[in-house]
Amino acid sequence: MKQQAVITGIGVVLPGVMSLEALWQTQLQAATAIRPLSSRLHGSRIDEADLGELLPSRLAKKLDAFTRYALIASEFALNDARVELDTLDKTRSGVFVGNAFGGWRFTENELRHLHNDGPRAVSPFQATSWFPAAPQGQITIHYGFKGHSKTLMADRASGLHSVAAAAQQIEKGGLDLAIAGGCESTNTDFVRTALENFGSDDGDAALYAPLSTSASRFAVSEGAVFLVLENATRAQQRGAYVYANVDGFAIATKPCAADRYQHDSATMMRAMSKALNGAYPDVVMPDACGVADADAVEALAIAEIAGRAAIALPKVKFGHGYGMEGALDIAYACLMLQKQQRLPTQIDTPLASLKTLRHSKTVNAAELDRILINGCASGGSCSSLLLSKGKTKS
Amino acid sequence: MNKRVELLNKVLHCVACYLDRETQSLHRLSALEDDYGLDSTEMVCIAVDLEKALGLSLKGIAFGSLKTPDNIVEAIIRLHPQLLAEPQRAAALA
Repeated sequence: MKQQAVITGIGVVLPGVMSLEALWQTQLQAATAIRPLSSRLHGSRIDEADLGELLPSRLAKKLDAFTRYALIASEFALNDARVELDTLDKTRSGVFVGNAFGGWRFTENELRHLHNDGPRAVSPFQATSWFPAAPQGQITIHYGFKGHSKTLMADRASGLHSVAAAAQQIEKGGLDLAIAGGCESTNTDFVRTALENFGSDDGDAALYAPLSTSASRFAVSEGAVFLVLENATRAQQRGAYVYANVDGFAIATKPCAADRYQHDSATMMRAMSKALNGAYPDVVMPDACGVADADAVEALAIAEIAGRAAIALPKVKFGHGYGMEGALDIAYACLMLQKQQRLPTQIDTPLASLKTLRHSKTVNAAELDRILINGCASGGSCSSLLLSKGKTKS
Repeated sequence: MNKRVELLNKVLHCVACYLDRETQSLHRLSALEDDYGLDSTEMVCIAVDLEKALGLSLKGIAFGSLKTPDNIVEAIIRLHPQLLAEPQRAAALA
């Protein structure tokens, strides 16, 4: 029998944000965390001083920033879920990580050491710090989890894929519990350089305003968001608070150039329809690429599939978080379902195709049962994940 | 100071720096793995730190198989016996 996967814990490490209360508050303030990161790229970055001594220094120096963020966010998520680790069957507990860029901050330093001082000066931890599965390895080692675990790389959709993969393992009875989410460290010379061309479409604009008629410039974020997913029966038995049920996930792909996003709205529509499976969302949280043609395609799909829903774009306050973005949207969706409050749209002049959707400049009380979250990957892949309000409460 | 003790102090200092601990809190016979939790990759870091501190190449020493700070000292002396020689003798051996 298929089990129900539910979300019982959330942990976040974002620029200026280390708690769920702070995460919610970012959406109520006019200010954003977005600043110039270079002459051609805007975004938000984590001040490492905010992390203090949350990790032992001996461990921290072996790790790239994206793994440090992941370890801290995982711990926050487990604490939020009030999981007693001693009661877990570690062979039925897994870790799922979404990531797009890997550990370039560590790598850049070591490349400098190699160039300036030769190979003996390169840290032996280079080998284990840079690769995208490093957070998965460190989290599983830290908690002794030995169940099915995976790192998923699907560009901006990585975080959605990671949570969906964890939910699937729980649904089919392979795992009791999973830590799932995504992490990125984008504050590096290499990543900035890679993204500068991408983000320069509307270089004179001051704002990241995706899906909008306003002049917009792309912005990038960094950090980690991890969730605790459990079998609903187990969560209920231990009296856990359930933020949301993971009700559906779908991927639709129509290949396009490897560095382009989907140009056919029917592909996004297919992913959204399959994830909804006949249900209707109260809120849609778009991928919101921030590139005009990709945004137009997604807007058409949203209008067609969920034209009466509200739209929420909390990422406008940080920039796009790539591998962690899907998990961040899920975190915001969980808080909306918990509080029964709809977040502001966060853009003032939505694209004309979105005019039938509900927009708001403030937080509103609302009856929220279902929230649909989109994610896109370059090469033509579109993903959609459906959450519904949790049915079990402590 | 006895040259062996001097070398031991440098080894303990490097290990202590890596561990973020006071040198005095380490003992020459303590187990690097069991007492300090050092793994083989961390031992490579310590080997490189030691090379810098001593101004010597330590290539050829299997650091992963050394159990205590004393073992490290023995291995370095085997590779560089001139370290225990008097200055004139060391210059001749170098």
